[in-house]
Amino acid sequence: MIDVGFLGALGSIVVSLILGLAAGFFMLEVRPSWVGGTMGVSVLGLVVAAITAGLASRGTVRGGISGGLAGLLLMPFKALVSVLLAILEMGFQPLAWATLASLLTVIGTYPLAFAIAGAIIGGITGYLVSKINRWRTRRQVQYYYYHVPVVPQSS
Amino acid sequence: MAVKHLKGLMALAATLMLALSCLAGLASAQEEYDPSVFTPNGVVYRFQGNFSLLVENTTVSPPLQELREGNFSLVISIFSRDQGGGYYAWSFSIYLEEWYYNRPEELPEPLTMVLESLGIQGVAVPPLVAVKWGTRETYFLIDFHKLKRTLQEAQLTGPESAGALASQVLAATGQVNEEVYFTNPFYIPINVGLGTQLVYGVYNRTSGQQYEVYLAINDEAEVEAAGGTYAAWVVRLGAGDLADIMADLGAEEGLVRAVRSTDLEIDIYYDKASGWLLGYESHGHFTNTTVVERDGQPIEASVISDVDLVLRLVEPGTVNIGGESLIERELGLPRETALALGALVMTLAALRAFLRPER
Repeated sequence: MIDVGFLGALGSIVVSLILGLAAGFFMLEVRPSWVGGTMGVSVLGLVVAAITAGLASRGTVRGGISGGLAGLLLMPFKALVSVLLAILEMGFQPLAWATLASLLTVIGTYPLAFAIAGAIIGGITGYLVSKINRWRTRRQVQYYYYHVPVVPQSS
Repeated sequence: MAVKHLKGLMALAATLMLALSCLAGLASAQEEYDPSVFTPNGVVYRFQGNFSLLVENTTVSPPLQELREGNFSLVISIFSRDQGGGYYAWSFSIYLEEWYYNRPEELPEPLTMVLESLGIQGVAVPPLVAVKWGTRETYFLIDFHKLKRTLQEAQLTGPESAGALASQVLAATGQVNEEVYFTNPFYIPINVGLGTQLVYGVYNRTSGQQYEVYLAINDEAEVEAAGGTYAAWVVRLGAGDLADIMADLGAEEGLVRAVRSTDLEIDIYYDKASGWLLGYESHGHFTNTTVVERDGQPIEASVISDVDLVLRLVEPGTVNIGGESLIERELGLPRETALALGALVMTLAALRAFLRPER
């Protein structure tokens, strides 16, 4: 029997990863001159992808995992999107090998530095989000404790 | 004492300024590239060709008329990955959309098999070359010494060992071989203009051998490619130019003369904004006389041949042709929209983080 909590965490990671990859992908499209060159674009893409993944995951471990995966898959994801767009234009059959090779690139390329940096940024963001949420919850509890009048029970 | 130091400092500053200005001069003379050309992904070309060869003599009875004609259409896609150390490995996939030859029985069986296989499932060419970032230098990912040794040991002979040969080549791939490189024909620098000489060559660092060809940009044109019209630099070659190049490379005099006598035009188009290859067109027409045998009798006949080869960019993928990014091309939105879309996705993530109740 698979734990529901585990499935929830897995779902959260997947959603965070999708959001992270989407945000990172758009950031990779900005003009390099705005961020000091091509390297700047890659770094911006990675940072935004990891922060978005960390934000959406709302936890240190989940943020670390989804941020790391976002860093690992960001560049291959961009390549895959371009292949998918080409398929829309030309049909699947002529590009079957291109798709396969692109998918293999996704699996076979290990930009470890990107993955580690993504995991750290995602983890920190997830940690901060969980801290802020905990603080907000505590404040709400305190608010109710001090402000909600206790109605005496009539016996 | 202070004045002496000041003078020294001024001299040092002047020397540094001079050195910097020299460096700036050098930098401005260097080639500049669009960064997207080193890491192409999802780039698709269509390579089409048709040819005809007519051997004819109408004065004999019965008249001699042998026509061979055919055409093909290939889809070639390029993708790349980070190879490390500033190199980007390029691989290709090839799919034969259609082919026709009016005398298929004349084709050797292995070739027919290859053509059919290309048409049914296509073929993926693994990363065999790697581009060095910031240059046109393209290195092989094949250790030729290792390949030579394995081939000698394996004693491969005959067409049936093509599969074995392919596996031997694959076994010798993986690392960038910095011994031999060639200049990549798929892109050129962006700081070029009419009259700029583009170099195409093969270089061996170990032996110092090199074969170089200089082709000048001699025209500019608006070229239709990948669903748009792009300003392009044109490298135009005639039969004479090609014959000169072949002569420089040491080709046989007869062959050079034959090429010179053809009616040939080659046009290579490079996008002005990115330097990426938009297309290649060559049209050749050749007439000559030859002697053919019929029933043991030699007959003089005229030979008329036409060859057309066209390579056209269909999908630019991640290459910023026309200076446009993927978003600009596909969605028709300004590039600034990328920032807005990225921010929108981040906002969605923030809403999920702070508004969705924790379970």
